[in-house]
Amino acid sequence: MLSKIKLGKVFSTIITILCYLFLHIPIALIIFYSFSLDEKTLEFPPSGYTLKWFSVAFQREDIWNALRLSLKVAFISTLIALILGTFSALAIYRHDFFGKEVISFLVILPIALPGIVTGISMGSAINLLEIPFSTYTIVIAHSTFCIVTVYNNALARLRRNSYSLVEASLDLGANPFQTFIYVVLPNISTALLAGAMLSFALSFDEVIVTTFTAGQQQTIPIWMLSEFTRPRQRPVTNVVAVFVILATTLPILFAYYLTREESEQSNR
Amino acid sequence: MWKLYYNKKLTIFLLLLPLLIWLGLVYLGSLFTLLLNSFYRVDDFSGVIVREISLSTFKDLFGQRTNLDIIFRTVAMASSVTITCILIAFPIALFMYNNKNQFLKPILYLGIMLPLWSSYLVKVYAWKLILAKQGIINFFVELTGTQVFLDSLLSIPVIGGTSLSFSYMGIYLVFVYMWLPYMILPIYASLQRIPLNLILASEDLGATPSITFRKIIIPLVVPGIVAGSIFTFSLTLGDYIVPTIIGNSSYFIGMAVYTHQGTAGNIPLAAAFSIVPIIIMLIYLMLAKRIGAFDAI
Amino acid sequence: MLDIEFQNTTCKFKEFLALDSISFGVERGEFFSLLGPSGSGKTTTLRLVAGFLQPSSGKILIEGKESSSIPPFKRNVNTVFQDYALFPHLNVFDNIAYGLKIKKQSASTIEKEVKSALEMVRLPDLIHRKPSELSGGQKQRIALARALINKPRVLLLDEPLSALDLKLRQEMQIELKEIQRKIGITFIFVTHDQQEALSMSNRIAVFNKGKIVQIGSPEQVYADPTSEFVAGFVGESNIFDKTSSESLFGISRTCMIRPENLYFKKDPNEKYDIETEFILKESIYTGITIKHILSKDNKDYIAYSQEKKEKGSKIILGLYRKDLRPLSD
Repeated sequence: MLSKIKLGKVFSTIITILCYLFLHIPIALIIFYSFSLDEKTLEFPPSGYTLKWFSVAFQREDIWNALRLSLKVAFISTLIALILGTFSALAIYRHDFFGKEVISFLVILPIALPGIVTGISMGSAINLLEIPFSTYTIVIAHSTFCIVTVYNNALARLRRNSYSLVEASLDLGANPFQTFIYVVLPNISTALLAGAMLSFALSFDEVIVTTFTAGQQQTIPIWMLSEFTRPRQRPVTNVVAVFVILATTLPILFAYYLTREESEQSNR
Repeated sequence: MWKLYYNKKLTIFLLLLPLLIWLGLVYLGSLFTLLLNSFYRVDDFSGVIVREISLSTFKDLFGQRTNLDIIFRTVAMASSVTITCILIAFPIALFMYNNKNQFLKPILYLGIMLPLWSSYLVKVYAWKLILAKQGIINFFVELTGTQVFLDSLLSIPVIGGTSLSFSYMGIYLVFVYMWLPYMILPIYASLQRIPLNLILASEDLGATPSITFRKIIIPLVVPGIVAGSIFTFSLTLGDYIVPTIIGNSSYFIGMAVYTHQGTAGNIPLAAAFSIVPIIIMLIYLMLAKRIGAFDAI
Repeated sequence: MLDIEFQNTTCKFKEFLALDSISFGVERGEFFSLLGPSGSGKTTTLRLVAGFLQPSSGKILIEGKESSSIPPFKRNVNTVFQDYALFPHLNVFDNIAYGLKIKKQSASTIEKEVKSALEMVRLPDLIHRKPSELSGGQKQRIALARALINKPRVLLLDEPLSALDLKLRQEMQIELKEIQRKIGITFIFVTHDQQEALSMSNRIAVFNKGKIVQIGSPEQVYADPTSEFVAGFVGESNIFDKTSSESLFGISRTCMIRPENLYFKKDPNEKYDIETEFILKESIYTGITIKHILSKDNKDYIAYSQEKKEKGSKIILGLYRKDLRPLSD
């Protein structure tokens, strides 16, 4: 009996280690490749190492444009998601009406349905309404699936707060608006920040829906996609990939530490 | 002005209004136009969309052999990816659950979170490089002399191909890689949700660890497994990028949708194609709700 | 002058009747307690005064003005909450100053007022602490200061002492009473602890199932309960049902007598109006005295004495008619 358990433990430890390697090596490889000297082929091992591709990437105008667009879209979408997500969470958290389930379902739908479905429906709707594709159509699409990250975080945090804080503020003479600014907002700020981080990462990385709702412009992921099929300089793509990894994982790390502090506090 | 303070229903409505307009009008509206489009058809000669309700597009969808192939291919891939993910994710989630080392805990958790949130495209791209003929896998294959093994794998009909980076096996590998974290986290979450005293009670009543495992843990983990499978299934059904980049140019649903919605294409058919994953997922979601999988997300 | 007045006020939540047409008034400067078991409606009443609830029917008058539609932030009433509700993201100074900041008072006024508020609750050194660094008793006093600094007409207290341990609670009871006497504000105090209500109040309103069953001074409520419920809820009581009262006292109503008015007959020369025999069931040592549980005709009764008695022994208890209270129930 004991040896069976031991065997099971060894087995699952091995699988776990293999799995973690499996998950992380590809990403590590990309970072590794960005230092490779080779231009045309994707050889392993590379013939040499260099930093020159970083400076080449730096000078590529199309990359900067794509970066600017991605950042712009991510910021605006996150802002919209913050407003819509927070308001909706505020409306819902105290009550238990049937509509609550519907709202939660509605909010998660854009991210639950396959990207291609969201993409094609928004894309064809934009077409139908004869709205020109622009930065704003991308923003509209992104905000739609970013709402859920803010909504969930805000809802969870609001639920953990005691409502008597709100009542105390009202009792002391603050109207609901002032109560929101001076009492509610400070207490959910970290949750909102975490939601905003997730939303930013989500928007920055999104490619499928973006393809359908962008015009001629390129966000970084769209740029990358075109580079896959008609590459100009492969290693430059690698460099951009490294940057994208940072841009999406750093916010996540940040969001993780923000929400972890809270859950530790509430367990105290 | 503040007389409205006591009107709770009005406040809720006002707070929700922007969201309802945005999601209700914009998003649901778009979905509705998609649905509507699938009931239209394209005139065979002029290529123009005929805005009349009919089922002819659906007839095309299910009537043509190629289309049916596409659907079956996609569903088969989604299923095999899902099953593989379950088989790999489960021991991992168990390991995370059984781990008592406080230092290891965040490392294990972040070790799943970070790949999950790493850029989708970067990951696909990385695999393209890995699977390529000059890539790292080939390097190790040559190093270890297992070329024969690789060749025989590749020569398996249907799922093999000219190289790993252009075959079903390659696609399958990449999908498993991409969605594995989506399966691990819900399973881990539902393991955590098992009240400790249930396990203690089971031991107290004399059950051996393996019986406790089979009778208590597994049934309570099922919702988490189902929740994870919702992700892996849905994500695979709709994905068109991975099969395009890694694949051997045989079509999956996502690619079909993408191709048909192009300007020269058949938007009603594209719409009809995308209805398929929606329907599959809705059925799946309904079944999952029955089992209570939603609490595990 | 009535600071607070309820006129036939009813409060209904969906199907649940929390308050069933209650009417009462609170005079200026009173320490008025709402006493009753959980769910009896006392907290609902408090929240109606504060403005967090609206009555389903009836009137609520604050300083003579009909106020049920006035939101809480416009009422001249402040509350001390059961969980203190101190703002965790603000320190003690900012917590106390909150109400004044909303009213846009000048920084110098605020500083002066906060300092004197802290003096009043005797915690001047805690000015920069955060609520998480305070003990229960300290939090309670800061919550009090935060409410009182706004100089409300009426202060509402929602079981503020229930989370404190016994010693601290008794200290706070004395302090609260002193503060109230000093500033002269009307206090409305909710509690389920009858000892608290008796020791602190000018008047008590006893609640049961959404109705006020008795209002009076502590002495009145204790010595002259109007119903079996009040008799049992406020202090310990002995209830003799109709049949027992008839045979023992010749009164054909339910009667109540306080345990301290049942005397153990020691000397055969002691003269009581009525004497009866009981069997001793149990003796409980309470420190101050010994509480004896005696039974007669299959019912239990309580009496006190300083002496230990033998279990199962026959005890003769005497009482005076003047101490009997016939009840209306």
